[in-house]
Amino acid sequence: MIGKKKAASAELNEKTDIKTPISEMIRKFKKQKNAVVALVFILFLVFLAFFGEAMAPFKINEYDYSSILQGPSSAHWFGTDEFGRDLFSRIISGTKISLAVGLSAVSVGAICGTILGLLGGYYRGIIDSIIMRICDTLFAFPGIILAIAIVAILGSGIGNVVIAVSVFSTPTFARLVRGRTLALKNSVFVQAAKNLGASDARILFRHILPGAVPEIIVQFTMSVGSSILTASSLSFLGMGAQPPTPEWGLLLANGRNYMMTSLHCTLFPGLAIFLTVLSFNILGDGLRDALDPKLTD
Amino acid sequence: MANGADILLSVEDMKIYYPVAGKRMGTVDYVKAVDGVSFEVRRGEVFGIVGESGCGKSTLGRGICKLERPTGGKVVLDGEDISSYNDKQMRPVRKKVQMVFQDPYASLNPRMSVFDIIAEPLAIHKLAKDKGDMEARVLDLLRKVGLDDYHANRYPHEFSGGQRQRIGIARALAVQPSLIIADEPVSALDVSIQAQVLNLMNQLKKEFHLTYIFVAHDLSVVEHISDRVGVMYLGNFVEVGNKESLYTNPLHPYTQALLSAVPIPDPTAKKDRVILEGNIPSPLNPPAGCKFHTRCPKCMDCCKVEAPQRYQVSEDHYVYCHLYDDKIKGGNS
Repeated sequence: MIGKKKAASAELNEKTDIKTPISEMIRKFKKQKNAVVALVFILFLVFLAFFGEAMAPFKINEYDYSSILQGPSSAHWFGTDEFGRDLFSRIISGTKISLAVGLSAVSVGAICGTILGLLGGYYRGIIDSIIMRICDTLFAFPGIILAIAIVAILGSGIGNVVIAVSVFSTPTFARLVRGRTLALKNSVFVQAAKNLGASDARILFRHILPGAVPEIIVQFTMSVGSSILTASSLSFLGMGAQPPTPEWGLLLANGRNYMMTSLHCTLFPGLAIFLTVLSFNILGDGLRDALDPKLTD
Repeated sequence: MANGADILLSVEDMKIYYPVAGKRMGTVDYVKAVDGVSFEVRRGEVFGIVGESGCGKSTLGRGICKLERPTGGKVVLDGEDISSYNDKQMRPVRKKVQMVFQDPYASLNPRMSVFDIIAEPLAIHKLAKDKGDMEARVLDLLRKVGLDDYHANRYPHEFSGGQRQRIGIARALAVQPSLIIADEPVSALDVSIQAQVLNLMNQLKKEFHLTYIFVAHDLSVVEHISDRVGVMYLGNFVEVGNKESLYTNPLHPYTQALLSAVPIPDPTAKKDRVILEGNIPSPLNPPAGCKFHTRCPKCMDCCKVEAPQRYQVSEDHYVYCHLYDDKIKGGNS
């Protein structure tokens, strides 16, 4: 018994020896089973995005008029659509599009928003006022309406959806990073860095930005989920991806006509969107708890 | 005042005002945190600044190294007038004057390892030749402040308050400054740790020929470390003198009251406590004349009207009080 305790404490010491903020975060993250499951699912989606099309049993545009609108079977796991195309193949091929749209749009939004937020929060004054008023204006629109407006101006297509989604995810990041910057700017360690003679760029990128990174990561994860949803909605409304792209929103829109007779045409694309967005949200929640220094276990 | 002594820092008429919204719409009032302070610090000495909280002692320290932008006044460091310097011009000056902060928990970036924290000033001022030199210097600094090599890869949250303050001191020492402004460096620490850190500061002072401005509210701490002491009240000095003279023979009624409040570790000792009435007035609207007159037990009529000048009472002892106006003729410097 005593020996066991000793061994346990030795192990503890060994572990505490390398207690970087990152290792601490991983330790806290592992405790949250939901988030770990969500992360595994997202990694699976990423795998599908790379290899899904190659692994699919049928080509995405392989028409088969002898078997249209068939329910799930051993040949067609998710059934077929109105042209006899295999839904399972189309859905796993569509993973790539949804993930790419979500990640690229949010990355652009996060980078722009972070830079704007840092500048506004650090320099205040007129720059800050201009940035924040623009953000307020963008915030005043519901996200989807704004995206529709932008796509209406630029024309439909998946590339323009990315632009639209990045525009409306920018102000969220700008506001978030500005808030952190305002708080950290007055912290004693930033004053200390200033007192050492650190340049503004050094203070912004070595001291303030790392302090905002946890919030940015959490917001990023959450935003990817909602961006995928928005992009699918735009495709559903016919403003995003155009047929015959196997985009999930578009699959849903096609299946809508046959919902009464062939439920699988809407059920499976809907499930794909639902599970993807849900797992990004759960992952975001998990990361938030793991990164929050105030939540001690 | 100079007496031919080597003056490292001289501050003349420093004012630091904070604008606040006035009582009526559209007007601006000022919180006079530091209101026309002049003093000199000699090379190699420890100049202690004491006063109750809110008297502007920390603000004064921060004003000298431009962490607060002074509203007015002149700061001459090592013969160089830095009062009108902007951030860029201040950068080389910062090698000469460094600060140790009050709260060792807040003054170290929690996301940087101790090595990075101490290496930062070296990187900013490009003081290390290469990576190896940088590492050697950081480890040397760590040892100098009584920490071990293996502490370098750890993060601030793994240290106690005293150890963190040592890290803060090592960071300040990295640029080899001549003046260190220590803003209440031990007030956040345990009494036993306070002594260790004070002794460390004393030892480093000898080793690196440092000059300290030591801001504190604890009179016994200031007595322990300082050569000369300035007592502040509501944004001004009320008395400046060498330690022995000021502690044995306090002249200003405020200093007398402050010193009488220091506990004596002897239960049988009787002491005359000067108990001040009322609170420190708001620096937003300080009393006219001598700022202390509202609480002064020896207040005279002239105190309510005219602010006292500086009167020299002995070779190295100055007081700002009308009581000493006529006692020493021609002592007004």
